[in-house]
Amino acid sequence: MASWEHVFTDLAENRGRALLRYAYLLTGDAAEAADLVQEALLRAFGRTTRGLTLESAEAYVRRAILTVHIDGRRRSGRWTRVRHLLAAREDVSGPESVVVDGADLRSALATLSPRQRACVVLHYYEDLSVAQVAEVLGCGPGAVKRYLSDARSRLEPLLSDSREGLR
Amino acid sequence: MTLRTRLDDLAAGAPDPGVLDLERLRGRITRRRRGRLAAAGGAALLTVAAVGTAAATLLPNGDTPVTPPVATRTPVQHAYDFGSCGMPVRGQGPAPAAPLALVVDLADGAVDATAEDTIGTVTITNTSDASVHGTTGYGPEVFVADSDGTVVTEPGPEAAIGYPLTLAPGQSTTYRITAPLHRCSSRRPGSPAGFLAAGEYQLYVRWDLYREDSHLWLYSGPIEVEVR
Repeated sequence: MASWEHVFTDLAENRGRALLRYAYLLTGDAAEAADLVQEALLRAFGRTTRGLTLESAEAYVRRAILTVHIDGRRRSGRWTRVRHLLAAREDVSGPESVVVDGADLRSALATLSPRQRACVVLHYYEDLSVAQVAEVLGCGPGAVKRYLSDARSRLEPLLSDSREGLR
Repeated sequence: MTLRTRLDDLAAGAPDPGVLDLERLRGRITRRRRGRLAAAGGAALLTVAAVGTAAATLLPNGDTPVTPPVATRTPVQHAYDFGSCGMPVRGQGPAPAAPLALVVDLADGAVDATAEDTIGTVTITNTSDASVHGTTGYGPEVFVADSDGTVVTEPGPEAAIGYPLTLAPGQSTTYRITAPLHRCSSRRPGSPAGFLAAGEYQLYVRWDLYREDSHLWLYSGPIEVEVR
């Protein structure tokens, strides 16, 4: 077995769940998240990978996930087809508040642009600073702040029970 | 409840890692790596021939650390005669030495034949220490052969025909390879709307340049691709 296969297997077995969760938050769709992770793994390991470690491979795959996600041209068709399904979940009801919250949040996230959504996931879920998000996305900190501000204005109503909800 | 907590809750709905088809993915990665190595290997050989030195740092050795240059380890890039649709690809022996290198970089080892999108690039690089000038020919021409080595697609209209081209030493020019991949043969009647049927194919690229005193041809392939 080539060394890239060891890293590949290690990454898939030990970090596969985390990568899928990351992709799922970016896409909001389970099947699309799986596609995204597989595409990113293919891109990362399809190149020559001399000296690739588990850590560097995961960083590479995460970046590829983000790149593919934001590549609107490639995914716009599929997104258009499923968007109404994600955004029109007003009929969700039930006693489990987590389910309701999840549906609301999923719907709200679905209204964000890919970059806005990426900023939310990177900043609030991956705990990256604004400067780090800017570096990952290849834009300036000011743009990230603007994306986050716009996203917050859409998400804030969901979290109105706590002024600290978006902190 | 913070947004972080809610995102955590939402992420719990992510699919189980079992949805990742690792075996299939491993196969696709292997094919893609093989294709890249073949394409880049041919380019490295041309570099060695043109510069007259064993530039082994250009040799892609995968996970193996670079060892002292051994030019003979480089896959030999052959010249090909593609004939016409339905004809077998015929090897013409090693490609002649050239001051330019051709590298094919596919975005993915698996290609959607119907996608109206770029599926990769062809980069021509001047690997010599002198400027190269000429007029482009038909290329880059992309041929796809089936498992029998029979040509099943022919190059479509190219916008880059007959353009003057000058490349300084080290300078490159890049062309896009685009789908859809239309079937030119009726050997596969099951494929819809004239697109290639799903399966394993071999992709070749040919590019040429008319120089003042010669006609220069570059080749790459075969590169294994999976058509979805």
